[in-house]
Amino acid sequence: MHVKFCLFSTRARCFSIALLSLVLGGCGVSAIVKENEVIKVKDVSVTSPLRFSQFGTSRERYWTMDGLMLNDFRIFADVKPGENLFLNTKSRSERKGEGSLYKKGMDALEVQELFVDTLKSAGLAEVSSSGLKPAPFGQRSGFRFNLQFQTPGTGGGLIYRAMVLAEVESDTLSYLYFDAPAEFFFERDKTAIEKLFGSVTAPSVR
Amino acid sequence: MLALTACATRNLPDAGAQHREQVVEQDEAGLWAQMDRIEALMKEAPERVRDPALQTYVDELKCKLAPDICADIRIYILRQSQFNAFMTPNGAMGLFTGLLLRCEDEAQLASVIGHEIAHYQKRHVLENWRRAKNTAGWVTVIGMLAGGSGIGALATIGAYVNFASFSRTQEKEADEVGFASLQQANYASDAPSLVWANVLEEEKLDPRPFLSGLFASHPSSPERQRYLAEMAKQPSAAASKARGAIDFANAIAAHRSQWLDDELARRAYRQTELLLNRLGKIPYGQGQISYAQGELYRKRDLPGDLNRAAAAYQRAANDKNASSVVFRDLGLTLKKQGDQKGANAAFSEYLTRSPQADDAAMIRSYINAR
Repeated sequence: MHVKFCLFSTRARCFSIALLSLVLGGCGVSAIVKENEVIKVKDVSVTSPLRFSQFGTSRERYWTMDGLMLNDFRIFADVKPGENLFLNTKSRSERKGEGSLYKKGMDALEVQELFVDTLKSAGLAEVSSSGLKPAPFGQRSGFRFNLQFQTPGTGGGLIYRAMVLAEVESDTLSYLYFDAPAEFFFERDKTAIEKLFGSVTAPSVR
Repeated sequence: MLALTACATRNLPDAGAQHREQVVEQDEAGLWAQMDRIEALMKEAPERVRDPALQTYVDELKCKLAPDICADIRIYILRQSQFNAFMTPNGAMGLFTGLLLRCEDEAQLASVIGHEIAHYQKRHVLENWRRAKNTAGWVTVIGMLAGGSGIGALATIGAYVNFASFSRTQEKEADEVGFASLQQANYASDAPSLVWANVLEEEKLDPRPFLSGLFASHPSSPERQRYLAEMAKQPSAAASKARGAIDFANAIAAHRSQWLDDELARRAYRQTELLLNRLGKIPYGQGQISYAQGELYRKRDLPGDLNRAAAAYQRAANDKNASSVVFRDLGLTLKKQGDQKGANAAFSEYLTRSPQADDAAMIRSYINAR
């Protein structure tokens, strides 16, 4: 997913995070997540059911098995009011308080809506959401929903499906995100990602 | 040098009917071949609006404006929230849905289509191509087309649009030719100046995200609006009166909610507020506009916005065609205002109207949270 976004809006950031991960590899984020390894991002922990490649920073992690265009799992913790979902550098309009920014007081419906608007603004086509429902986020009350979109590639683009598990506590947003091409990869990886979603631990009171 | 080039290229004869068969100059044939590839991208683009009724509507409109070359012009409607339209030299025209959303009637849409057809007739792209075909910009565009870059139709079109910008002289000529076609089809002669007056108002708030691509290089809106308004005052123009407001409203009715959603997804609150206030004065689709205003204020959430949102949703709810989501979003707004009783009533109405809604479990959790 990040590469998909890189094509449209955040290319520089994508590579800078990857580079930062390489530079900091010895003292922070490991490049490999092992099977059954517990990874903690702020106060959100997950247990990986598989081996993944990893890059990221203290509040965000990107995992993939076959490359980000084919399977893209993300953990974002403590997105604060006024920040955008993927912690990108703010655009000119975002600096003026417009654009797809996370806001204090947003609830599940509005977070789902924010994802849709963010993906649309990134240049993806036919973005839709479905299946919003309450779901535990570790020990916290969370929610989950699905997304679908189409990349604008030649020949009509590629259809992607995505799953999001999220929670809002103390006005910050934390979430797990996974996307993959609807054809083959999403179905193949869905069970592993469900396991990942089910492995979240997050203390109920911070 | 530019002036000399302009003089040298002003002698191109207009593109008449079946111009493709008459293209004998090698560079124009080559240009058309490349533009055929842009057209192929538009045809396949996931953003293309594939609605036979709407397509028929714009095709008939194009034929009213340019009956002689009607068959040579092909229009592709692309789902993009920006105000934009563009013409390629092979007769393919792109119309963004953000432009359709902003037109108030058929006459305004006709003024844009007529203007774009004029670029085709006057072979403006060929003029520019001959002047600039060796520059980096054109090489980039052609390279993208030749290499099948895989970045998609709109990115390629965006590159084309950025590098195929017309000169002020060409734009003014297209305005004049387009204006004549508007009169010939008996459309209201003030339509072009109204379009640009509206653009100007939005442009004042935030020019760059709105006027992307081609229209960003058009003559500045104040200048353009001024000379278009002067054209409309000419005695010969006064007789043109048709606006076609109802036909236009009917043609876009099935898509308007989706286009409003796309506009709201930009979260360009000031421009969208201005747009919705303007569209709210048109006596068609009032419920859609009220709902969109509710969405705008709920998303923006500045002091006082939740009150504005609730009032707008209430107006939308009173519309006989109100969608069930009006009640869901009204409930959400009331919940945020602390009116749990009102929120529950609205959520219950939503679930009554859409018992199978796929977010029903979430909404039930809101009601049960009382």
